[in-house]
Amino acid sequence: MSWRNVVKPLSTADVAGNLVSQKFRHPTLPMVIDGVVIGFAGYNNPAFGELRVRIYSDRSGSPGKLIATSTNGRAKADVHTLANFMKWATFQFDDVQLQAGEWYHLVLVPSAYTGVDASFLAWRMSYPDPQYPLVITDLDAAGAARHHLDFALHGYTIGGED
Amino acid sequence: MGKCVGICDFNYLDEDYVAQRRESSEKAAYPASNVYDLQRRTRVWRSDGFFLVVDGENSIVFQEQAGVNLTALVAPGEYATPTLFFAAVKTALEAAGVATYTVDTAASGKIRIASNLGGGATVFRLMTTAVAFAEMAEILGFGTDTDFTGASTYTADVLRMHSEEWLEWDLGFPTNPGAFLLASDRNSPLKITPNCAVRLQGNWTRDWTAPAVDLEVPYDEFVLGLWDFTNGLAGSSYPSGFRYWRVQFVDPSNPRRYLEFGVCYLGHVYVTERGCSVFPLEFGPQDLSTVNYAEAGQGFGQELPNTSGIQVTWNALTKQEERELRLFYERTKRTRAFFIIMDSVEQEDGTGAFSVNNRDWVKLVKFQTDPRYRLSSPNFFEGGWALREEL
Repeated sequence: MSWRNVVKPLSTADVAGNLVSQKFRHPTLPMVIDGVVIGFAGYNNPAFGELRVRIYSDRSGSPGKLIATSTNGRAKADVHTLANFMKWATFQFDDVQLQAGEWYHLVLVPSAYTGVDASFLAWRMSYPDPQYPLVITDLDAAGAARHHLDFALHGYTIGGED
Repeated sequence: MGKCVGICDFNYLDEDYVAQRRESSEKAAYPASNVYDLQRRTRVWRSDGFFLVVDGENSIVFQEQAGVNLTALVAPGEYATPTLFFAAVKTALEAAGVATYTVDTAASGKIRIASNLGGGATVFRLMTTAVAFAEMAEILGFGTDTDFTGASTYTADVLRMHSEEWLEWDLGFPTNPGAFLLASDRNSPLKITPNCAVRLQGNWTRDWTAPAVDLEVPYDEFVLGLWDFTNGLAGSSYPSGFRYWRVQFVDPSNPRRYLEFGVCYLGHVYVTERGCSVFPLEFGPQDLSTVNYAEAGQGFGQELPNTSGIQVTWNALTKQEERELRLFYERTKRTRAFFIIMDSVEQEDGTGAFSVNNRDWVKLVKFQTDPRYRLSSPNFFEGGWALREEL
């Protein structure tokens, strides 16, 4: 039996441009999102300013255009006081409307962040069971490994087309 | 309730009064004229997709040979349908380049641009990171973080069903309306998103670059509205008001791909001076469903829409006020719908005088029965209205 990570470590490059993201969609209904819950972890007191979550459109499987950034950030002091931790936090959005059937990406964005092997933030994986079926989530084309990343959406769907 | 009740008794947008009505766009089956008919709130106007292209913000930077930027200039103007706008984009691309282009929408509704790589073109790249492309990229829905390369067809990142939409009215002479109201089906939310920016604008001319009055209309699920019983919507600085008014909507990523409204009111509000509607206010929902019972006692419901009934009691009306209300009923009878603003006063915490959301108490109603008045003493009238909310 081999070791498996239950988190996806975020390197400096993962945050700077080669974004680690989790794809999601509602297959049949438009959505209005006012909050996203993300599970994340820290190893060996990672340095960062605050965490925010962004929603991107999908461009060929990767994050495309930035659609919205969470209206609240989570400062390091709010997140943890221990060197090693695992947390779930809610990030608020200002009623972001999303199309039915279209893929979007969630991206966890720490500011003033340096992620190296010896000290990093990480996005919790939805391990061992996927949270959602594949019509709702898909694996990240940017290389988030084999498990979905942990998230929950808060908001509502709006009626179908008529 | 005191003087927080306003009766919307004169819609300046009626065809008999308004000089000219214009709309940004309309779907053929849902014309904008529907929105001015207060008698049928479910007969609606739907936008089709209006695109405004401004000179100096009309560049599309692209490549047909690797490393050689070309700039297409989309003709500035107002495009009342997506088809016209797409044709203008195609014309601009083909004027600047050598290939043939197709501009349309993907199944998702996102704008799509394709090149046939003909005429000697070797690549098709949309250089969205070019500064000059920024405004058109926003209108088209293409992200500007990275260029679009490696294909001959590119679909926009996000939905853009319009750049804006509007309804515009020329009232013929300066006018200062007391209320502006927009509503649709009573039992389903307005088909706009919570991010829809709605503005009511008034101006002396049709130039909306910097209107004299530019008011934000707050989002509400069921009724959009503004009113000012004291100074009118033009405000105390412009008591005579403006000849031109319009409502502007910016909701380009609306997943429904259209805006929809059923009734629109811009007009006078009658408010009593001494007399007033008084508590208690009697009201309640009316479920129009019917239930039939089987011999064994089971109930079978035929579910129909809800409406509501409202009893308004008037007190201390002067003879002039009684006359106004009586003449109002002579015009509306039991057959014509009108708006009544029942909780006009907004508290500091955003709630109404007697409701959590005073937009809930903007009702499109008809008289359910004939009103009754009583002269209790000289120049003191009492009365009662039974209203039923329109569907």
